[in-house]
Amino acid sequence: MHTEHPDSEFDALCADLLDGSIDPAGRERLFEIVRDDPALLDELRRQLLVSGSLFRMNPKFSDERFSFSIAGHLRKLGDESPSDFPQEVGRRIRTHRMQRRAVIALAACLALAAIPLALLKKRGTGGAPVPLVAVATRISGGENGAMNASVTIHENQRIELDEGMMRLEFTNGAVVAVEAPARFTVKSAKEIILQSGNLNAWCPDTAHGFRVDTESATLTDLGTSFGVSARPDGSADFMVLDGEVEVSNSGENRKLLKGKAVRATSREGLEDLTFEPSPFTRTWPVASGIQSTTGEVVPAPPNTPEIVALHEDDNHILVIPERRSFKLPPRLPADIVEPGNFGGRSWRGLHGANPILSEGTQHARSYLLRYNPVGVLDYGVFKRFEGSVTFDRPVLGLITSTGKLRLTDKIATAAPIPEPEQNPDMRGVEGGPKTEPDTITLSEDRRTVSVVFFAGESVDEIRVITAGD
Amino acid sequence: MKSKSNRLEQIDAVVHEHHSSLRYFIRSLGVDHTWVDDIAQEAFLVAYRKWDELDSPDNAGPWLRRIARNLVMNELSKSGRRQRLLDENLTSLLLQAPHASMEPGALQDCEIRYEALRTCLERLTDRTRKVIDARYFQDRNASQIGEDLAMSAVAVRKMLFHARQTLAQCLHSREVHDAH
Repeated sequence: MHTEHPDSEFDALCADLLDGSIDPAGRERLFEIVRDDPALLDELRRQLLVSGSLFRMNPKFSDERFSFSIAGHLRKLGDESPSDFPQEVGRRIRTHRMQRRAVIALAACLALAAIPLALLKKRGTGGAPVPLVAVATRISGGENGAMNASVTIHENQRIELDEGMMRLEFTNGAVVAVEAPARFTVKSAKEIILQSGNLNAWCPDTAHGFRVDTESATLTDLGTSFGVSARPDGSADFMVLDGEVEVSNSGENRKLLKGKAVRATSREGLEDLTFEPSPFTRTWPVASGIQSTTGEVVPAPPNTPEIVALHEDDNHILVIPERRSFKLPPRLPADIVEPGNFGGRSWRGLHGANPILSEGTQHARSYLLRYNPVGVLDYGVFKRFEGSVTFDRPVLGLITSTGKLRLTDKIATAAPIPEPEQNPDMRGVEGGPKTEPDTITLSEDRRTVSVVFFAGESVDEIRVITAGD
Repeated sequence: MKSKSNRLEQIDAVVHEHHSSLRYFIRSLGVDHTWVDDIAQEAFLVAYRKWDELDSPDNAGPWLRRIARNLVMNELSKSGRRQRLLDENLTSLLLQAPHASMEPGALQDCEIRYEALRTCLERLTDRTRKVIDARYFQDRNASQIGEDLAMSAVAVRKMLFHARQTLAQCLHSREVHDAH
């Protein structure tokens, strides 16, 4: 395979050629050498092939990206008249060249890509650090979503997710949940290229401007929670669950507020789409900080905060994400702030004067565990619910009493919680003479809240305050 | 005349099956890597336009390579577009002297599979991989890499050359091994 030759002139000239630094005299000399030596011409060809293969490991020049692009392009041309064809080809090639140049310029500023990085990392080289942009955690496809060990994600890392979900927490605070099957590239801490699949993202202030590129359009976050579905045919749906985004496609820009959606296709551009967020049923909770649930405790279905707050369910305790980030006051009223069992037969009650203390700089998130039946149960009839929810952050405290729920509504809610029609003074977990004792457990690692509720005629709520970003 | 939907369906399948090998082929003719995809795209567009001239999709591979070869030859006659080639004289030689494994029907044998390439990359030294990372993933030239790693540009180019040789040998040995 490797051809030996007496001096290194060919080596040097070939290396210069592939580096782009060969001068005219060198070109001429290299030509003379390989013209007279077929073996060296073969060596040059091998150098070209290996060089091309290495470039193609870069996601920017990957097979998948090319195939994806060309297939859609040819299909679109099928709808054009023959007379349009030459002009269209010329225009597209020119556009493609310009885009390619831009990509090359951008690539010069980007850091290392996935596979070689992984190799470097495995070998523990002491070289220049490659920008780490996110920490990823795989979540199995099972019902309870077991978490796997986290791995670091670096710039330009390409990911093929064939099962389960992946949660990515970026260095700038953005959280993205992706559901299999999905193909995507983490281009940087501020950008994902989504070839196919569903994702949900939440971007704090520090991550505004976060982008999701698809074949047909680009979404730019303007402070929000959103979902993107990209299909292999190149089309993509964009939905805003909270806040605002901008979606752009070939010069067309649209700003979308929560509750709005558009579909982008290469043929039709951007079209209004009915807001229907059910494709994000699995990813939205994960992006919202709910790692997993068990039993009759389930995440609320994805929607805008106002709609989620109105949701009723006879058979489940819903975990409703409330305010994603708020500054903790020095003393936030709460009932439970330590791990352990509370209520039931425990010596520790469900209620207590146990404020969450803060120096006033810490940020927190809030969630509501809510049993809100569609109808009203008969007086004296109780339904038993049991389950748990695990969060991605430690729980700072639980609010279980109606008074403290009301006191914290203003700071913790993202949308007004409707006042219960029955027994509005009994929002919290209020044991009474007709009920079995409710039980709440906060795990030792402070991430899992387990409950046994005996729900009756009233709404039952627990507010969970977790650490923030 | 084949129906449009049938033609689109067939060319989708052909793109899926041949885009990878076609890009290898174009690169082997000395096309600058940043233009390989453009020429491959042009080849598929030409194929689309002339689809009725293809007797059977089974023969699409050699047919696409002929189209690509013609497109590369056209580059030689269009002085304003020669920047798409690394060197027109070398491309002329590469066009005239096809590699044995590039013969019709055998092209796929020379395709470099990613898995094999990853395995071969693992066998390189850490420093060599670092240089490859810089060149192929950060798109830095030898002078820039040399500044980053305290090496001369000449030393960087030499390291890259020998790394490509080593990878080619490794890939070849894996092909032989896999064939048995």
